Amino acid sequence: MTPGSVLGRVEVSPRAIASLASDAVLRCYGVVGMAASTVRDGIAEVLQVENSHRGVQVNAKDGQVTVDLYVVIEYGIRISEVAQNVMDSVKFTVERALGMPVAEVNVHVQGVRISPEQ
Amino acid sequence: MTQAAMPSEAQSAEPGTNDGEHQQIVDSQGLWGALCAARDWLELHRDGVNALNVFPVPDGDTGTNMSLTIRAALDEIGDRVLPNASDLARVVSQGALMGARGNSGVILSQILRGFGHGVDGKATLTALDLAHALKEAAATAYKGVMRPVEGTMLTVIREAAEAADMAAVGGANVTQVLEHALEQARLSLARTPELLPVLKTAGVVDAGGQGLVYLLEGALKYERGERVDVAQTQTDTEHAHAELLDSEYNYDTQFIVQGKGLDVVVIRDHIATMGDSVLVVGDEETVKVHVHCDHPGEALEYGMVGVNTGLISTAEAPFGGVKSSGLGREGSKYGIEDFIELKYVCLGGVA
Repeated sequence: MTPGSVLGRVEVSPRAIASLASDAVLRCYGVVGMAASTVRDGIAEVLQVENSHRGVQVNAKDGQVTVDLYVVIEYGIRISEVAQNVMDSVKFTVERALGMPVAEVNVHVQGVRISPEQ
Repeated sequence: MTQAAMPSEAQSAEPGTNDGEHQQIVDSQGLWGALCAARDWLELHRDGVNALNVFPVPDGDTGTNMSLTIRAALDEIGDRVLPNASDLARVVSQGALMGARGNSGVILSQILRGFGHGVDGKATLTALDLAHALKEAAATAYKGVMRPVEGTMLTVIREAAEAADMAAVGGANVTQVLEHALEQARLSLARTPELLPVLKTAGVVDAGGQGLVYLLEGALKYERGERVDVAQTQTDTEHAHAELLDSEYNYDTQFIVQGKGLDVVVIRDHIATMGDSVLVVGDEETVKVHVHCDHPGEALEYGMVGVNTGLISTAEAPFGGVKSSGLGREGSKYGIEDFIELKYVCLGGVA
């Protein structure tokens, strides 16, 4: 991804965008973790915080950035609304940092966490 | 959107039927009345809360989202009469879950869920029960996020609940517990800009936290036997709108300017020359403008306008702004200059 400048090029790697996006996701209310994009034996692997960028896939084709997010959501929260909030927040954060539009943000809910009641 | 249109209103206890003495116990009817008052009080201040919304996305809908969420939560009761506070809270938290709107609405639904869990199995609530339920509400709200952001409504509910708990343990009655919770919530709200830099830059307190303060205020008003009258009360933005009637200017104009290196002070000075009731908040990249003026176009020309979106740079727009495309003038009136035509308009009989 190359935001333009008169002096030269600035290149931003998908990995950097993934880190930005995962940071934004983890601050989103309702999201309790990122998960690996592949579901192994029907079980979604919940990622450690330091690996959370692995729950993000960034694709840049023809100058269009699309972001896929694999998340785990807290039980008892309206999933559709949390997903919508995640999309808004990630789009806003990445566009703000990158100065480039994000064409798509797709949210994949890989799992739901049930917290023990006190 | 009037109160009278609500079918459930029939069940609502008349505010003012309280004896005015400090309440020792809250029954189902009392809880319902307090929730309704909280809903109405927030509804009254909805626009004011919207105007504060700069985090996490500055889209100005926090007040609307919280208002719709609490409305959906209470609508869930419908025509049912639930004599049990526990049942009432459970149905309300179910309604909040299904009706949650936006980020603040989702958090509010978790707060109501925690509250419902906190009063589980109790037909009536003592001051201690109420404080316990508030603590449970705060704890549940914190569970729903990986990295809680302080300086938001999470901070406000947590500190309010702690104050309520201390008061209740100290022997306070229900009204006093609410008073302590509200007092602490207000202090907590005032501290939010210190905890969350984006609020400080924009010169606002947290919108969700403010919404929560209004909910507590409404509930306390009910407990004190004060009436929350939608028609009677005037609030910040409503006040501003009422001002419009007295104002010499005709149009209420609101928009967002997006760009880089924006100077809030310069924009505020410029806008201030156009009209009154000027409200300009934001940071270097996003500035929200509210002004009463006679020539909205003039105010809008200062920047470009995004309707229902704060992000106006897209590949489709004629001025570009994506990669090296366009003229590098996006976000200003110069960006669309090449795409508009000036027209000579002659007004007769003016001089």
